[in-house]
Amino acid sequence: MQNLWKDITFGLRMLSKSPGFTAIAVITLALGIGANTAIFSLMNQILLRQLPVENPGELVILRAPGPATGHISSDGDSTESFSYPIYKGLRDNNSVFSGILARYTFSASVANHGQTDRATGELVSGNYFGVLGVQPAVGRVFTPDDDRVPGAQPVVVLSYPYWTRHFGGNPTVLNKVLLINNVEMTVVGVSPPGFFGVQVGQTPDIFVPMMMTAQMTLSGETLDGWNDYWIKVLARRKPGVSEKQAEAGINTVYRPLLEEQLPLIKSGWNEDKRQKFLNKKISLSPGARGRTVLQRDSGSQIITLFVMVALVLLIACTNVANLLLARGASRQREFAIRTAMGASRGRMIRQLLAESLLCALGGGVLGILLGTWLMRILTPIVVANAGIQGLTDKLDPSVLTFALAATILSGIFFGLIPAWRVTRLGVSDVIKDQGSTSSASVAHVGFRKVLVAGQVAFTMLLLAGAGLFMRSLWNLRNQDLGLKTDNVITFSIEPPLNGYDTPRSIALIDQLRERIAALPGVRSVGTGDIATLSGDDEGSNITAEGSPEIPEDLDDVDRVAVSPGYFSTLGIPLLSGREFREGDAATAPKVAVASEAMVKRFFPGRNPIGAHFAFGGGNKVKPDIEIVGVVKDVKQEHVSSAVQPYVYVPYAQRTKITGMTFYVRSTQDPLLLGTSLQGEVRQMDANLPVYDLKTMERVVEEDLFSARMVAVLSAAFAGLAALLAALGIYGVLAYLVVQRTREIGIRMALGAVAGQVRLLIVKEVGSMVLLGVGVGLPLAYGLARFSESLLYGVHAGDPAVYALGLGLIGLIALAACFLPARRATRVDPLVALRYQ
Amino acid sequence: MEPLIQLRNMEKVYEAGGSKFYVLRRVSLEIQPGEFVTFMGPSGAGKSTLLSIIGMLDGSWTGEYYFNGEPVHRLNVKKRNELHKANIGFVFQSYHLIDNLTVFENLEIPLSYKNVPHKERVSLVCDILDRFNIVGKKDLFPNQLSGGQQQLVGVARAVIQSPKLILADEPTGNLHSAQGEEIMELFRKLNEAGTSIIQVTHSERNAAYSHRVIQLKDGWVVSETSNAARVG
Repeated sequence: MQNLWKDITFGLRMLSKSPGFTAIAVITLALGIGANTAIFSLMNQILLRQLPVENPGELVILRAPGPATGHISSDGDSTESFSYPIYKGLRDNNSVFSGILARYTFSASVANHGQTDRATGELVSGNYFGVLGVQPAVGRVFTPDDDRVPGAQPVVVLSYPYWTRHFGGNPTVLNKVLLINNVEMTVVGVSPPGFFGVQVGQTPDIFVPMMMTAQMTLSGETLDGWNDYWIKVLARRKPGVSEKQAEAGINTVYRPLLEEQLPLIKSGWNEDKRQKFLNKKISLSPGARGRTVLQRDSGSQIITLFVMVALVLLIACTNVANLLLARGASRQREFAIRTAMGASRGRMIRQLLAESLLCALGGGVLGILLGTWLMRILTPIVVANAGIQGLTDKLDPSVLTFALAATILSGIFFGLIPAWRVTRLGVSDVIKDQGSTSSASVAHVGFRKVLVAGQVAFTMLLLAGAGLFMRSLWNLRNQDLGLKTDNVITFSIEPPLNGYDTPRSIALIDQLRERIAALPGVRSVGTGDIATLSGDDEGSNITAEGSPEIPEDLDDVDRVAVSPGYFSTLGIPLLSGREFREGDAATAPKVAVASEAMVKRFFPGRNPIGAHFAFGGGNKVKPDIEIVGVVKDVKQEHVSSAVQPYVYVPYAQRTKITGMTFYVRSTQDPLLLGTSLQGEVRQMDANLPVYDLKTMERVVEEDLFSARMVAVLSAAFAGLAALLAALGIYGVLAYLVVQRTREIGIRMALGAVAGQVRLLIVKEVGSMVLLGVGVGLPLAYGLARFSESLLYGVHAGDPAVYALGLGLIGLIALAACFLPARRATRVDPLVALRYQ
Repeated sequence: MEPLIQLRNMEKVYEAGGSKFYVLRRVSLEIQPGEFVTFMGPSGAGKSTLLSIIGMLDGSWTGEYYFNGEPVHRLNVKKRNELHKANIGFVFQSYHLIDNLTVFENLEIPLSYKNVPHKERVSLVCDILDRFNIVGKKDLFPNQLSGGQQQLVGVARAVIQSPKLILADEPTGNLHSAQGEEIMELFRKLNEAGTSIIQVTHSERNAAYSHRVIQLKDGWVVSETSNAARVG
């Protein structure tokens, strides 16, 4: 212990004696550890964090892949959606789970003291909190007693953040009555702090019993519909029951439920499909991290960024290892003496490792500060642009543990190899030596070159990655979306949440359109029930008059209910026919406008104007919707999505309206209209919340956020890597020039000119770069293949990107060898020949 | 009495480009406990190499080497290191103190590598500082000392662990004559107190302090002479 303390104090003294080395090493490591800490914090919160519930390892997610028909509501994986009767059957009859919970997210309009806000609600089964083992912070949470009678449980549990945000954390909120989606609901409790539900990135504001489904939801979710798939289900395994046993156990309960459901399926399934339906099996997957929607959507971006930032740390460590090798060469005398004094090699390695770890500790502390600062910048940007809720910019224990582990591993990584090499040289030479220390350093140069080649390889990898992501972003930004986003502002409302039925909703929207159109500065206004570039869609199979045979998996089209003026306001070109008119009302003949892709699929080679189709399939469906116009294809869901066939119908002809998004084209800066638009809605209904008020340009930017984040961060990492690589090359070359001073002097004495001396140095750098690029190019291609799903309009082997990367590496190498080469050409042969 | 050192047919060879270069050839000699021996010879004779082998810093040789009866040629690296740590102290021409350690810490190093407990280490270092009359220098760094003072610390460091044998490679080579004499007197006293000493030197004056002079040339032991007119 005392020896260890000695090593530490001696290490501190050695570091303080070389402040330049220490500062460069600490800063280099801090940059690497800081960037890693920030990205790990995001990765931890999004991909790794377990649910803050009791024994999260016992939780499993239920999926039921296989045939399904009816109303299917999903957020990316429809196999996770169950009907309430199936859920109830599974919950009440199984013997392998201690509990099965159900939940569903809904939009809520919460009125309190005359102020109405939009909130995220979660419909939950009565056993939800019990299964998760979550206790209330205030009042009570739901119990199975809240699961008895549909519509009879007008109670609500507030989330802890919502309670503190809206009620100042005041416990008197209990028994307070809130108007939620136009229903009076009594607050009975508050969930505990830190609890964010069962889906990372989606933090509910309020929890409502599932028995209140009919009162809370707008899309027709029901508690008795066997073919109404909407509930997401998690379960807790009984102690001692493995996942495999649980899966077998739950499927014995599932089969009878499927047999009960089959007669209720109206679609004309053949026997094969019916058998497939009956043979459906529930599969279980680990639920410790909750539902994996965000992990599925953002996992590859975050992992890619983490790999890139880890490489930056690796490059930083390599740089410090290189510095330590240079320093070790000048300390060989010291180690020879220590050996002569009886020091074992292990003992000296321990001493050098103590110095490395002290250095790493300095880098780690500074890195954590830097990482915290980066998190404070990065987290709000991610929250605001990616819509991921519940992220924190605070250091939590796992991030600190990671930073500490990164620090220690870095210290060992960059310290061990130099320590191993420095201490392996013999001592006889030093003992015979008259004090010179330069002779033993030759052995390190080759290894240092290999380290630099490694840095070049990783830098090539990062440059290529950054190049591909930047190219993707450029492609995304510069593609034709099919609409014009300039001077357009958008906002949304959901009248049914405030008690509007469909006729009243339509009347409200009609009036709002009229009032907005009359505002000064407004050129045109249009509305659609599915917000453009929001990622939402609603589709159905269709039956088209006279259409060729369409395979079953291609007979779906997406649908948007829009207003007159929708296409002209969004700048969607009308290719033939007409836009909707005010006359296309509920009682008028049903009409639709088709997209180019829809026409190509269902009416190939025909003029679709005047043709008819209907939503749904089967013999009883009568095509009664007339196509009156054709518009250009639009990127409706995401900028990066493939074009889908779309039909647009007048919202006035819809039988059910849930929400509506307004688009207003302005003659001026559209943001100037923001206040007026909110004012118009308020004048129509002071309790109707306006949400997502933003320009269309902002909508596009938000949709491109993850691509932008990956591109910008990868470019930053590549830039940092290039800088570190340049420093690494410079360090080795500068050292080589000093070491070869005598040789250079002799060459110059024999007639070498400056150009020939420079060539010597360039050859040195050339060998390192060639080796690095030779290794880096295939690695870069490998990483690009792994991340191909993140690329858009560019393939993993894009030659232009790699050529640019090679060019940059060349420039970095030339810049790094400029000073050493110049120094070499200034060697005075007379002085050099006296050298050594 | 069993010899302290016994070498039989010791050879050391460098191989380069397919050729063999002999540094030591069939060296056989014995050194008794309490003996003071000098290795002399021209540059390249193999004196320092022989000293390194006897000091167990060089392990690549052939032949037989017994130290106090222990067959060094049969010991693995770890055991050799143990033997070296327990019995041998070094004094170098260039002093080879560690620049970043104080005099006190330099003296403490060999003890710490022998895992001597802290209290005992401090006591031993204080004793040796007192014995060598350098208490006032204990907190100084080597670059704050004269050459003679540095070598004094070097000898003190070699002596601190009470070795059976001190190996000194040109111990006065970097010192002026008065300082050199002081160091040689110190060796004489240590030898009289029972410590065996082997020195490598070109100086006849220094050689006069030893009991025996062994001459080497081109790796061969060419002569051994007892020193009848030994100083002291």
